[in-house]
Amino acid sequence: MSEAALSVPRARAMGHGMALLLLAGAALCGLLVALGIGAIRIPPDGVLRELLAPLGLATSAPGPEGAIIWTLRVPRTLLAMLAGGVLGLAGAIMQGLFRNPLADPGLLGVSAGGALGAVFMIVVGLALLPAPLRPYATAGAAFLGALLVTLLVMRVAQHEGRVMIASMLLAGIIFNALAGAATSALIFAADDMQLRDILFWTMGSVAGATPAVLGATLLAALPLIIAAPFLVRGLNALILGEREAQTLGIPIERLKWASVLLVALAVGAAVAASGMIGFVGIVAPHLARLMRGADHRWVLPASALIGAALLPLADAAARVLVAPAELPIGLLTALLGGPFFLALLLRQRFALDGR
Amino acid sequence: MRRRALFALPAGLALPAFAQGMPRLVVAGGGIAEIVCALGARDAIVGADSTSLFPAELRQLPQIGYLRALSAEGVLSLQPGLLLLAHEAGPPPALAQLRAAGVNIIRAPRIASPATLMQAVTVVAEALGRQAQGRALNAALEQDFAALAASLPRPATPPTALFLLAAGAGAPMASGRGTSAEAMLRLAGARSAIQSYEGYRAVTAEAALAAAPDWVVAPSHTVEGSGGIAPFLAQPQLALLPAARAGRLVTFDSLYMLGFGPRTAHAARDLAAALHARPDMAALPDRPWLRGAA
Repeated sequence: MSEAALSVPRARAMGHGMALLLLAGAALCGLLVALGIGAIRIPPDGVLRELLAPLGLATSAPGPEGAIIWTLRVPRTLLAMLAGGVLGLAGAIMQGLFRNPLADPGLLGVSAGGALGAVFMIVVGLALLPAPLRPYATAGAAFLGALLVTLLVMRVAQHEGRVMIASMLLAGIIFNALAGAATSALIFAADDMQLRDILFWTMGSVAGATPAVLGATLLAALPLIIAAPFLVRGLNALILGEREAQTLGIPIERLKWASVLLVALAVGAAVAASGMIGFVGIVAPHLARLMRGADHRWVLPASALIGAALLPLADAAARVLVAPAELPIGLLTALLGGPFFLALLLRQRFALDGR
Repeated sequence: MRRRALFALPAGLALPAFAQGMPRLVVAGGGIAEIVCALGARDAIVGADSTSLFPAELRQLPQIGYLRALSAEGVLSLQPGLLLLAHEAGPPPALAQLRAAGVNIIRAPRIASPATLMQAVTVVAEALGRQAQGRALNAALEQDFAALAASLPRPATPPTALFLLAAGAGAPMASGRGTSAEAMLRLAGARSAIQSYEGYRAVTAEAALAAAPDWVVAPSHTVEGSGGIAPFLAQPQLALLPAARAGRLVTFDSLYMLGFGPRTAHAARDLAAALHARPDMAALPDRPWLRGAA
């Protein structure tokens, strides 16, 4: 190995695969930390024993520790991981598609549509539904709202069989505003109790995670996760420009539709299951690019892993900071993500100024 | 700080205050908390939600958050022997998790009238194994409400009131029908000046004028927050009201007036004395729970 190669920082010297493995390790650490802490103190060895017990590798303690970890912490931590991964991945895809580092699924109206669906259900729908349907009604309505608004945005942005990125952006802004107005109208009609419910929903929480919620979210996220590797080539070509990508043989319209629909499906489900969790979709791809550049072969999986590592940690913090009460997770991601993003912007600006 | 102290407590250790065979109590709902205290079980409470503010000692306890957004693990960390919930408490998934974790949960009926208040007292007293105290409390409450009804002035047209819940920089929120504020007005032999909608709505100057209330009723902390009675009544939404110009404002402590606990009859009596302009109206019997005692 030459001297020049040795002087390259180690992180650059290794391949994407190695770096991804490290990130996966970080996500695993996040998972373990999130499972290990909570309002009830369980020492690390106790946590490990309960986690290994179902595999027959350890014997469960006679106390309630097993139930606390398996029924309270595992579902919500896995949901946080899944939602974080989906938000990170979807953010990276949107930023690639829009060729704009500030893009996120919210641009398509996913969040605004989800909020409209959820608020509609809280204010109007719940009272009309039979009791057995109510537990999942808000999530279901949020999911449908997210998909519906995204489809409307795409429909409006489509012209003569082509989806214009610029029109998509404008349509997104318009439908975001319309969905926001409808949501405000519902909030105006809401009573005190409903207002509090809406408030908590919009701040996000993974506390409602059950195996059923987790399964449904995973089902909706799976197409995106499976398809992501096939989007990489197109997104990389798109860096050069839409026409250039087309001349490289990228089926550009199919890429747009596939990206948007898969993202809407997955993020719609994540929003439905956990409410509005901001900033993960923007921060995770930025972190990924800071580490090893903008190649989507790296950015997509890395953003997913970073999101999957961060959100369980944010949830753990949400659970212990004001225990025995609990903070909304969206509040924490915004609280941490905001300053981080500001620092990022300032740094970039200085870099540009210095040039 | 408080959390650390909690963690420092060895698991399973009961504090001396929980003698007398009372389970470790966690309470969600201000009215329910007041009932527990009136039944003499305050020392058994080890955690309370953010609406349990009276008696003031409850605020020193570990806070489990807002009653509609409870955290399963947070509640579990207090090792409750019994979780007493107001009807509104939730969310359902957290309650299901707590039930699955083996927590004994008792949920009181929705309190919206003297009758449902007494039902809630019965439910709470049974849950605490304090049936005798529960019967005594209900007997006292029944007396209080009867005394209130007996001394209530009954003019041909009851006084009307614009019941404001919060009045900040924006429009004040005024009570319409079906609110606890309206229930209190009824108990006081008065009427809500606004009957056209349910719940609380931001009120405009013209709507307030059209409602033509005899009185404006507002929480004292809101009035103080706006700088006192004169600036409060001078805000544009209220300034033109004859009631405001005549200074016909009744202020109240919102916990006392809208808590719908054992102090309800007394609060209604005070409201009635003010709205009927009868400060000489017979006072109700003095009760220990008015001072947060049992």
